[in-house]
Amino acid sequence: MKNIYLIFKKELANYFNSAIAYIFMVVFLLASSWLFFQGFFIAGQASMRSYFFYLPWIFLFLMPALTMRLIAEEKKSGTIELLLTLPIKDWEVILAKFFSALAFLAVMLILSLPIPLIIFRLGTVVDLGPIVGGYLGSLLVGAAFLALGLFISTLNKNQIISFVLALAAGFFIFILGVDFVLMSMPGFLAKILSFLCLGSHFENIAKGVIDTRDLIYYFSFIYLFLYLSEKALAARSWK
Amino acid sequence: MISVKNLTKKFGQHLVLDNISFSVHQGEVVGFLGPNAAGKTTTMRIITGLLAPTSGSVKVGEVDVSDDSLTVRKKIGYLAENCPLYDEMKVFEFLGFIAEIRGIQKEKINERIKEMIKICGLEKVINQPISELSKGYRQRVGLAQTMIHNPEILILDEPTSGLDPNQIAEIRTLIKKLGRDKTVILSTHILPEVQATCSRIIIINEGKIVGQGTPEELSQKEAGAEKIYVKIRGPKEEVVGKLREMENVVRVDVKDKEASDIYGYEIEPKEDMDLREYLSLTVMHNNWSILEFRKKVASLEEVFRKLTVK
Repeated sequence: MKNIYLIFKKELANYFNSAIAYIFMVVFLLASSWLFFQGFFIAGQASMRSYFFYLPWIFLFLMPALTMRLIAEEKKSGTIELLLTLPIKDWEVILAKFFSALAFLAVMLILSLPIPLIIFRLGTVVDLGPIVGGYLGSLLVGAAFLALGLFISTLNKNQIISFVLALAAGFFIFILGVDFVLMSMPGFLAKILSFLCLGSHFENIAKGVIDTRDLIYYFSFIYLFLYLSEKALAARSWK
Repeated sequence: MISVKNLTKKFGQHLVLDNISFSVHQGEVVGFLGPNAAGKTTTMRIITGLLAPTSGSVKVGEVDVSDDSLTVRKKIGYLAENCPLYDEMKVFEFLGFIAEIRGIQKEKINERIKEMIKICGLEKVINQPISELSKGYRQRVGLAQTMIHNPEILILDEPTSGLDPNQIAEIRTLIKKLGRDKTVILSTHILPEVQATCSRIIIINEGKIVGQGTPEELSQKEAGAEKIYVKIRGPKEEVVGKLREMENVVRVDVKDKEASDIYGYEIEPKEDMDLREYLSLTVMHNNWSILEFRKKVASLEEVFRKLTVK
């Protein structure tokens, strides 16, 4: 536990000690707020539905940017050799890196809290369920993208490649269950695809319906990719 | 302390280490010598537990690295090639981070860092980001990192590469000092370095051990018969002629010239024949005189080239 905490702390400091963190936050808040407030006053509804509709799409781009350097940079600079000859287990490294990115995501989401506060101020009757669900769902979708991105970052030592691959893989898994794709599939396959899709589970949670199936889906997804990351790291497939 | 048995490592089809065995005793400073890509770094990475061998075993103390790599890692301080460090951290932050992960008690961390600063001469840069350090200081921070938990074993992969002559001398002195109570393995392809620091040398080439021993042993064993260097006052042609006529002489070469009638000659005797007495008699007999006389021991460089060039 102590090792995880130490590396977590170092990684998080790494995010916040560089200008990148602040640029990142600003980009996220501007993009999400602009997309949301564009239609908010026209629709005249005190809900965050459209906010949470856009959020996964923003995450699709931002999460790979958070994870691309996690392992790839250490491989490139050689510090992986320093890190992995310290008395630390491989899974401690993976968990610490994952949680540091997750903590960054959580800070991002916390910084967006003025939006629901504005809505509470403006609206007379506000349905709390979808907002809480929306935040929970966003955290889970974000975490899933992070786990996927972390895994891809362990596979190579080029940050740009890590980013592009994570973006492509994330996009693929996210749109698997979109109606457009499902229409052309036979029934049983459509069911499987819509279950595997990152997006469809998010929609349920964002409606404020918290179903254990959706939670189990996200936790398994995250677990799977953290497990694969650990295996990829243990393979030591670099020189 | 460290025993390596039948170590083989393949990267895909490429054989990097071919059945290597050696052992290192407590308190020894052992130098790995070999051309680039000979397998030095791979051997070190396997000992530190970073890489798993394809076959064979490495034991540190009583512990097998592949069984319990964490226990072994605690005993080892490792300086990787090119000295990778976390560039974004400041020197004291970095040393603190390593100290904490190495499990040094909280209240002792500052004390340890101060000690490392003193030993490695880091006073001036302690507050600087590592990315701004010169190569020499980076290397010193790297060394401080390897020693902060006071490990029994130090494994240093090319510890002086890229340093200037003064820094090299400093690092060597440091390694020698450490070698008194620690077991050290260091790799290099700089020959004077091993001669200056190591009590034993292991020469690796193409994944195989091609020679090992103390620098003196290697020079004697590998260089064949000892040559004799002699400086004689006398007419050159005549001297060469007489020397060549001597029994048990294989070759005579004129090496250098001091004055018009003083030349240095190198004489190669037949194996294990002692020519000295007969040589001096020959010179006296001809009324020449010997001005200098010594056995010529092959330099480590010659040994190295002989063992690693085909």
